[in-house]
This record gives sequence, structure tokens and C-alpha cells, in this order.
Amino acid sequence: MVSLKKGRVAWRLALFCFPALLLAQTPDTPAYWYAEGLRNQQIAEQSFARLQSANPTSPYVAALVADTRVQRRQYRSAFFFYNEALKQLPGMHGIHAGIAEVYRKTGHADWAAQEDAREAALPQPDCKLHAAECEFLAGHDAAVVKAAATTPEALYWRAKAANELALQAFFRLGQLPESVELHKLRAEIARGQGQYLEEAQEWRAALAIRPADSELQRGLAVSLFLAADYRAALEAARGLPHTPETDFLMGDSLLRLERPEEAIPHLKAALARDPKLLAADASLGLALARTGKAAEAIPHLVKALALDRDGSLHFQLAGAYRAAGQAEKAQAAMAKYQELSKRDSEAKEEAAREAQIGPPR
Amino acid sequence: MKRRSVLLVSAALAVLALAAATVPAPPAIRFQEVSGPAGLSFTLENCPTASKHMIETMPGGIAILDYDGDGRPDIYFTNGAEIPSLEKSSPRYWNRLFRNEGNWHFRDVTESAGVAGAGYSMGAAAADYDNDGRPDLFVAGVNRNTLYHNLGNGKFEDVTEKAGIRSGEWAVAAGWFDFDRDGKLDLWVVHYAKWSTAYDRYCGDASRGIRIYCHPKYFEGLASTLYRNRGDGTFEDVSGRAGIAKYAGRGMSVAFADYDRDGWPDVFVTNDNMPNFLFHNLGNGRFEEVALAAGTALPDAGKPVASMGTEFKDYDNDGLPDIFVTALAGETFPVFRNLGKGLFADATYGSKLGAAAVRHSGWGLGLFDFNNDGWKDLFTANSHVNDRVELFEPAVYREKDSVFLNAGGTFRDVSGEAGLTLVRAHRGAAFADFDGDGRIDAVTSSLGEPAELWRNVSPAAGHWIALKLPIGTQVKIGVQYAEMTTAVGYASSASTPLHFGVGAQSIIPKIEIRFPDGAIKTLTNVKADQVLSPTGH
Repeated sequence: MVSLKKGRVAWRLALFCFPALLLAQTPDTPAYWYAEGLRNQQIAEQSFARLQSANPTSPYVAALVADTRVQRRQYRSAFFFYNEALKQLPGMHGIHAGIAEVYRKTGHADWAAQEDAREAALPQPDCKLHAAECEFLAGHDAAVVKAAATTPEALYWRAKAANELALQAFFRLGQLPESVELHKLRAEIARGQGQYLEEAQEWRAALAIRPADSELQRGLAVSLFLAADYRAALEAARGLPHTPETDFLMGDSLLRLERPEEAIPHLKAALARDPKLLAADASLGLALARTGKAAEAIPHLVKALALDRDGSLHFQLAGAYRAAGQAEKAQAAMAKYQELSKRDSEAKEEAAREAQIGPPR
Repeated sequence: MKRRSVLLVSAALAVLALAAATVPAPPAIRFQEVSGPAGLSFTLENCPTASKHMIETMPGGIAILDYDGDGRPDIYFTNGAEIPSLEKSSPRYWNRLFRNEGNWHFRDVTESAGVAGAGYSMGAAAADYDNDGRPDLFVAGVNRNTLYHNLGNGKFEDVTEKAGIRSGEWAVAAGWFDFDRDGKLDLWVVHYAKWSTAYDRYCGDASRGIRIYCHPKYFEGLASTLYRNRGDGTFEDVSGRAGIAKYAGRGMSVAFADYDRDGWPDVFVTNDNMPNFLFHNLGNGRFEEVALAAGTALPDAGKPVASMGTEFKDYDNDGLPDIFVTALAGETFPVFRNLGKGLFADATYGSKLGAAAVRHSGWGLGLFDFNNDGWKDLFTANSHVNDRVELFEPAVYREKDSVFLNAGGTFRDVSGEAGLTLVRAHRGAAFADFDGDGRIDAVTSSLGEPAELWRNVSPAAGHWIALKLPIGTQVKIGVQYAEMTTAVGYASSASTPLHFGVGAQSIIPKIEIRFPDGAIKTLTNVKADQVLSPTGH
């Protein structure tokens, strides 16, 4: 076992210290490494999707979700998922190490040391039974990715290995001079972490290198929208080619800036281009209701109800029905609001309870 | 015929144009900050810690009361305490009473009045609960409340224990009203959530060492408490009997008004990131929580906001009390317009306050007619709750205060021209005519920084009238309607006469007054620009 783990570490060290290893047979351009990273990320995502569709409650799914949450700095959630995985896979390598990382990031060095010790004490896997795990631990990521993966375990290690390859590619990208691709990557990482203001900075930096690139401009507009800087989002979206998404972004931004009259044409345009864009229906419904057009708002709100998780759309619909003089329908919608709202609150409370970071179990 | 139509249209347009030309623009609102020369030297010490305890974000209630009966409103500031002891371990944490000595000069009389207080104070509510003609004072705080009885000799006595007022929960605000209309003021205490100094959840980004105040969702809310005044100096907790004890919220503020005009005062409580409460007074000692059905629980988008301060007053001169709420940037300051028949509609957009306020975060607020034109304007004490918000959101922590001019039922931000220039972490705000010139002035508190005293110097303010009345009295002057209350904005209070701006009227044709006991009085041809003390009998 020790030798397998050493293999993983040695491979990483080699990459960090001697990036030329990676360059030997590959072009050394930002575009190449960015594309290579994305390609491997896609492989990881496909493996995860197959795993999830086969069994969404699989411990392998939980472990991969936990890894993603660590990357996104969502440590409480990561802690919960690692422990879920651990319940069914107590001997699998990497879970204790993941928990240790969570502890380190949240200021519990003593607990992290305990988890590191548990990881180190795990017995070496039987390589006949767990070939992919052995290959991964030896640092043979490319081989793991290439190998056929049909079992949940193999898919799990394939996703892990592809992620490793993606990280290696992105690491190499980070060593090259500043580039549009580097800023795009950083922007995507910031978005994953919910750091939308940082994301916007990266898109701006990319635009400084390649001005008037509409893809970068769209990234900036979306990041500002997600950061709730609606004025800046509007400014950034101005001049972008019309798509359902940009029309929605502009309309919803105007609505959130309390300018529903101006929002309506953009939201209508978004729906004209994509009638299935339910988020635009939801925004248009609220904009119409706010401007006193309750009867017009109702069909849009009804159409958007599929999106309603917390009951807010049913609440809006109840308001529109009430304003339109349809008291019975208003009452029914309000009852549904109460039901959904209660369910949503309970789910959030449960998640908050589950997501407490406690001492090693 | 066609030519006649054209002529008629032209004539109509001409009349409209003339009407537009003759409608005077609302008089400008101007303030001047005078705390320094006035000697109003107070800093709100919230004791910020690395642990980011939620209580640090929330103190700052202010009470205005004429404690010595000289006719000049005095100012009481609540203050924080040391954390974790929650003790006022040094005079810097004392609550402070400033006596208004006239001519814009204030003197600190805290020690002689005996109101330095104890514990981590949050809000204050002033009113004469024992009907001896002198305003008393309730101070709400973290696990410690205090009821001060005004002795009338410039001193107060702490009567908390013998009055039967409980402590032990985190109280933020309180208000006095006569819920059972027995002529004795009762006390409503608003609680936030379960909390102790042992609570140490890390919120923020530990890997980057950025700790922030936790979201309210992590705190389990508490119900308000209603104390019935027995009339013998003691109070009984009737929360259970009144039907309010089962409504746990994260309460921030309370306001009172008879929104359905049935003669019984109703109660609105703001809740932080939870639906607000509207307690309809059934008139039999019980309340019914009706916010959702009435349309005041949530803004029209159906999502709760960080509801903080509130005002329950008629802004559109339709004779029905409306509700204003302060909240955080991006949430607007929601307005619930009273439609009558127990229903409200979200008028944040229609009142134009939404667009004007959407970038601001507000705490204290006051709906007062600052330019005396007959329309109540809105003053808000602004700041975000999270001192590190700028790292995560496109919002700012410290802000200037705002004033929104009410131009016939719609609001316009006139803060810049009004002279509100100080960028601070504002919290409480209270309002009174400190110099008796008929223009409503403002006082605000700010975390870790000096209090501000905003003298109203609006140059063309109209005429006015102020009425000394029992709490709950309803008054109509022309289209204007108001109820006497001492509850103001966020955790604050003002035991001052009910103020009306009456524009160009030097003689007010009619003032209709309905007292809490049902007595009705009508005053006719009243000279403006004076303070009156009408009685019901």
C-alpha cells in the first residue's frame, strides 16, 4: 500500500517540479492546456453522470460530490457527503484524506491529523479485485481513464483520475504567461465557488487581453448578474448578440432594479426566442403583476410553476389571482405556497443540521 | 363639429397645462448636522469581536422623551456592553440620556437620572405607563430588560423586578400601546432568537480566514411577549392568553395602528428573513395573526427579506395606515399599501420607493412630514448588516442616510440635496421637533461612531400643528390621517406630540380626533403652528 501511495505522490511531485515531462510530446500553448483540462473534466463528468444515473444514492456518488464541494469551499456539505460515503465504504482510500482536508480548511488541525492517521492505516487494496484503485493510487491516471469502466467502483476511479488529469493540465496552464484561457479557468473556478465578484474580475482581465470578444463579454455579464450587480450586468450585456439568455438577463436585471416596465420587452423577447425558458416566464409574470397587468401575468406564472421550490411562485400567482378578482384560485395558490414553503424550510433546516462539522467519528 | 372637438381638446389641454403649472413643487427638505456644537457626544459601542457574534450588528435603538417636563424633547441612546460578559464594564458602554437645554444644546444627565443601564441594550420604548404625566422608559436588551419609572425629579427608578418584567431572552425592540383599551398602556416586547455567547458557529470562508456574521437562518426565532398593565405598577404576561406566544419569528421591530379602523390597535412585527407578522386585535384580549392573508407577510416576489425597522402610517393620504419596512440592498424598502377591508398590496414599485431604495440597506426609519407640505416623507438610517459585505456582494457596508420626498404619494430620493453626507454604519433613528420650530428633526446612532443630530433647516417648510394625545388616538386633518404612537422605525421610540404639516394653511378648518376610549372631538378653525393638548372630555 505504501508503495502505491508513494507512486501517486511521486507523480504529482514530478508534475510540479518538472513540467517538461508533460511538454515532451505536447504543444505548450494556453489553448492546448485549457482544452486538455476541459476534455478530462468532461470525462470525469460523464463518469459521474453514469454513476449517478445507475444509483443516485451510491456511496461513490457521495464521495465524488464531497470532492466537488471541497473544491467549491463548501466544507460543511463536503463533510456530510464524505461521512455518508464512509458509512458504506469504510476501507476505501481517499475518504479519510478528504475529511482531513475539510478539517484543515475549517481550522481543526488536530482532527485533521487523526483523519490523516486513519488514511495512512488503511490496508493496501487487493489489486486483483480493485485494479482501478491500485492504478489510481500509483498515479497511473491516464491508464485508469483509458480502461473500460462498467462497475460503480471503476467509474468512480475513472472520474477521479480524469479529474487529476484535468488538474494537471490546468496546473500547466497556470505556469504559462497570463492568457485569456487562464482567466477563463479562474473565472469558472470562482463561479463554482460562488465567488461571483472574483469571477467578474477574471472576465474583465480576459477582456483586457482580448477586447470585444462576445463570449468573454457574456461571461462578464452573467457573473455580474449572479453577483447581483444588476446595473453592471446590464451595462455588460448591452451590445451582446440577442439570445434567449441575454434577453432574460437584461429583463430580469431590470426587474430586480425595480424597472418592470422596461423589463417586459426583454423578457417577451427571451420567450419569443425560447418558449421553454421558464425562468423568463417567472420574471415576466412578476413584472406584469407589478405593473398592474395581473390577468396577463397569470399564464406566465402558471407556466413557471414547475420551477417553484420554495413556494414563491405560488405566492406570486395567488397575488395575481387576487388582483384579477379570482378569489378561489388565489386561495388555492396560497395554500400551495404554504405547503411548499413549509416543506422547503424543513428541508433546509434538516440540511443545516446534517451539515455540522463535528469531531472524527 | 370636428373643429369644435379640436377646440375642446385644445381647451382641455390648456386647462391641464395651467393646472400643472400652478401645482407647486414640494418644498425642499434640508438637514444640517449639529451634534458637535449641540454637545450630543455619544458613540454606540457594539464591542465587535473576532467571533462575530450576531448581537454586535444590532444595537442602537433611540428613545426621545421629555423626561423633565420642560417641553423640550430629550434623547436617550441605548448602548452595547462587553462581550462575552454582556456587562457594561466601563462607562463607554453606558446608555446615555441627554437633556435638551434649548437653543440646540444638550447635556449628558445619565448619572444623575440613573439610567446608565445594565447588560447589552438594543432598543428603547418611552411612554407614560402609570398615567402620572411623566414618560417612563423601557429598555430591551440581550437577556436583560429594564423598566424605568420616571420619578419626576429628574431621576428614574429601576422597577423591572417589582413590575414583573422578565429577562432571559434576546429582546431587540418594544412598544407601548393600549391593546385592551382600559386606559393603561401595555407593553409589547419583540424578541430576535435563541442565542448565547457560547454560540460559536463559523460563518464565512475559513480557508481564507474571512469570518462573517452568520445568516439569520442559523438562529431559532422567538415569540414576542405581551405584558398587560394591571394598573398597580405591575404587569402580567398575557402572551399565551392573547394567542401570540405560538408565533416564533426573528423579530426586529414593532409598530401599532388600527389598520382596519375597528377601533382596536393592531400590531405589525418585522421578522428577519422570515414572513412578517400582522396581529389583528380581535377586541376580546386576543390577537389573530393574519399577515399572509392580509398581504403583509412578504413582498410581492414571495420571498422573505431582512425586514428590520418599520413604520405603520398613512403615506398616501387615503385615511388608512400603510406599512413601510427597511431591508438590505437588493431587497428594496418594501411598502404595503392598505387597500381597506383588511387587505394590503405591495406598493414598493407603485410608490416609486423600490427603484429609489433598491441599492440601500436600511435600519432606522421615520415617516414624517419633514417639509410640512401635507405628505409624509421617509427618512432612513442606512448601512448593511455585514461589515465585510463588500468582499462578497456588490453592496456597501457604511452608507449615508437617505430621505425620500413624498410628492403626492410617490417618493423621490432627495438625500443629496438634503445634505445627508455622513457615511457610517447607521442603526437607530428617532425623530422630534427639538427646537420647537415646527420642523421635524432627526437623530441617528451608528456602530462605533458618533451619533448624528440632523437639524431640519428646510427653507420653505409649510405650516404645522402638533397634538399632545394619548397613544392610540386617531386624528384626521383634511385628507391626512395619523395615529398617536411612540413606536418609531427600528427599536426606537419618540414620546412626542403627533405632528402634521399643513402646507399653506395658517388656519386649519377642521381637526377630527377619536380618542382610544371612543370619545370624539372636532376642533374647527384652529390656528396653525402651535402645540395643542386636546382632551376627550
